[in-house]
Amino acid sequence: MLAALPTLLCLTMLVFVLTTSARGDPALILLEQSDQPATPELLAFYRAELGLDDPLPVRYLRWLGNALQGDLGRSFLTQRPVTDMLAERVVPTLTLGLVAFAVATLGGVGLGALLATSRQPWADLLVRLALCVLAAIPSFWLAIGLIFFLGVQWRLLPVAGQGSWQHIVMPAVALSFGSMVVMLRLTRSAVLEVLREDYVRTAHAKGLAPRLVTLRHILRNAALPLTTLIGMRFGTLLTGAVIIESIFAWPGLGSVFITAVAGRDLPVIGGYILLIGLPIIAANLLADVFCHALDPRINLADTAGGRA
Amino acid sequence: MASPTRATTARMSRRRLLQLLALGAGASFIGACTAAQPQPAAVPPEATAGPAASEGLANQPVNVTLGVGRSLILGEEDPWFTHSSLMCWEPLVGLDDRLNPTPVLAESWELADDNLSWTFRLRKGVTFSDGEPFNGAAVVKNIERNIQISPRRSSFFTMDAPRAYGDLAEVSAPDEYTVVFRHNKPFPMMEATMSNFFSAMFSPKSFTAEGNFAGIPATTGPFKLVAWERDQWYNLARNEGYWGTKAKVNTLRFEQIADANTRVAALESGQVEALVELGVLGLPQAAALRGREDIIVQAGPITLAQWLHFNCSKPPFDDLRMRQAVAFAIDREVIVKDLAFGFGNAATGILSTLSQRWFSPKGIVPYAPDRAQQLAQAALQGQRVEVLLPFDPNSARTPRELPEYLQSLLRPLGIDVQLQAVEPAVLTDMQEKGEWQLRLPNGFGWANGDPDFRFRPHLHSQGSANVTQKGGYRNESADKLIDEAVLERDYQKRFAMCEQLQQLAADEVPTMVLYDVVSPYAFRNTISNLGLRITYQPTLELMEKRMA
Repeated sequence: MLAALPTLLCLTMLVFVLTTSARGDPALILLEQSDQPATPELLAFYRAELGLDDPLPVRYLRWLGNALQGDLGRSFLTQRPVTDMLAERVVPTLTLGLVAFAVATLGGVGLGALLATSRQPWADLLVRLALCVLAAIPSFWLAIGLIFFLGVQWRLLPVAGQGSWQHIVMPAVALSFGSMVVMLRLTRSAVLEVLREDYVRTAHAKGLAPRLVTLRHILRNAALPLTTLIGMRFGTLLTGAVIIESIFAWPGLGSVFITAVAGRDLPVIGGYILLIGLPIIAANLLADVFCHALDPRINLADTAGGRA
Repeated sequence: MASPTRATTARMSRRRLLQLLALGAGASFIGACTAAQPQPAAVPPEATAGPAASEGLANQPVNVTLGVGRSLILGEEDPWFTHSSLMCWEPLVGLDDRLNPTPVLAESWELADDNLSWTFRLRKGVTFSDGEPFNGAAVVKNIERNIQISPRRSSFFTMDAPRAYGDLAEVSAPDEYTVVFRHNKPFPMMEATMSNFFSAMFSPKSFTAEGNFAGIPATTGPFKLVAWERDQWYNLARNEGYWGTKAKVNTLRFEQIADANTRVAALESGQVEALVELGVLGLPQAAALRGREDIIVQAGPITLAQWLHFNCSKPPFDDLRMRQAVAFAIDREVIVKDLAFGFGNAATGILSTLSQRWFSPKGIVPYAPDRAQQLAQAALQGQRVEVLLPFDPNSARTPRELPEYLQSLLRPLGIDVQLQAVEPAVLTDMQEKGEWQLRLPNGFGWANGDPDFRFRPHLHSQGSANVTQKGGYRNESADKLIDEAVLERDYQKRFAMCEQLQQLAADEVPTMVLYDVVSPYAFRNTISNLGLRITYQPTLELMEKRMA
């Protein structure tokens, strides 16, 4: 777990350097949003108030020092504490991420195992062909399609916002679809691989019920590569929500991040990266732990040592 | 091999763990879904108790849901809390649709003979929504609070006290309905600077000691803010104690949808009933919605304009002939008709015809392609010149094809326009560093209707377009005229100065207006009487809804 701290530190430093070296003056961007001329006097005031006149290392160390005390600063754009801004958006993003994660995992693993064990060559071929096509669909395109059919044409679901369970259906489906397809394909391959193993044949020969063979022997052994993938995909689902949240006006961290990047709102960008970085690192750590639990031959110390 | 007991314990633990995880996820999901539930209960009973003014069932409350794209509420940290478009707060002075200062909470105003004090006479019988009376003391408190927090950042309108109130010595209320502003230096244009944001009035009880808002402020407008969720939705209720004609609908709900296509989908699906606010509907989207039976598309002139700026400090536009050549070559009618889908009025000079008081036809730049060719030939002597035009390809306001149109239009003149598509932040940076020869700004409107708001940024050597954005135009005569005009109280004399400046802008073209923006908006056919004022305010108080 300690290895996560330098990772986080490097992450924030990288983000800080990249964001500040990106072209765009936050003071002028902010001033241009206001419905009045960007006079040199106002620009100087904005720059001073945002602390943009200080050298980059001073600004980074000041930000880091405050962050260590739990103060992520105030947003350039909204003037609000970044911690407040992020705190009120975490739950919607986590909710969407978790629902999408559940849909992707249950749908992907379940369908993948079903396909591999179904012994219906035509169904397998058909689904694989369909998956090749579906895997190429970007989530934003799917989102637009869902809005058009389910929201506008058939009026089954609200097209934007938050407020009821119906609001989460379209964003969760759009967000989870890509991951679900990947998980489905990997599950199918992993299960097919395991099916050829001697111990599976032995289990069948011993007279074990097919359901028990699938659950105890096939899925358990096929779960190793899947667990790693699921851990990695959780992070993707959280960060991938940026576009989906924006399309569906889902009030999560995504829209805050997009606005912050467009406005070069450094305190918010730094806070966001910190917030998103933590669960991603934690998810990867958890995946390692689960791998060890599933197959004790995997040595976490060696893995960690190898990484270090 | 694990013993049966250990295995059982391990299975139990895993199951327990899974149960706990599922429970946590479920609780989180339910919590998140219900946390942001709309809060109709927050609307006070009196807001919905009145008779419905719209067509339909007599006693049924009339509620309308509108979609917006940007934040119209910035909250306690902002000098104004809500945008003027929500019609919660009112100013002392407003602007009519010809940009003339018009009474709102002030009934009249006059400048003293010595040019050093303004007297505002206030409307009687007005109360804030918290029951506090609107009077001279409230105005003094508001002005003092604005001075206290100035300068204060805001993406609506920066609070800048010297710009708003001049070199103010004192503000006082000699009687309950009179407020006097005494200045150290003459400030004759105060009636214009006081319009809208700079004279917004809030109940004195709405402020903390530091001048911030202590929660939702009490206001005097036709609607009052009842509940809101930042960047998501706002619920407004009709102000039953409004001093003017009461609004026709009982409650308004605004849903903030950032994505332009989703906003239109929300209108098409009926989730929102109107899209009416600055930039809420893109030009191609508005054009695509025209002709539908269930949706009505309209448009209203606003004070924004699409400009073409020349970098006067760099070749080739440091040569007056080249600026004139480009100006004469552009057919602004074509731009409006073919590129802006008709949502514009071809420009008539640096001041729009919308300004009844200050527009002069002497500022009109003619369309003269032959003359443009002659001027370009004389300046370039058969050579070709390359110029850089950076632009934001995703700008909702600038027609997408306008940069390419200019590129093709200027090629016969010997000008090769190099187009560079960049994101808005990079565009801002390029402008600040002067890395451009042509640019297409449309950022700020004409907030107070005073000609100085258009002349100074563009024609004065210290103006924002020339200093901050490195336009580099310098003309001492223009500087002198601009500085003298703001001190002139006599209308005829000031008009003559403004006329000279309009002529100068047409002759020297440091910048040109391509067209004045006509902003489209759309609503479902159950809605009527919904318009857009020149200051971007929807006519929410006039809006009616036909009930099913």
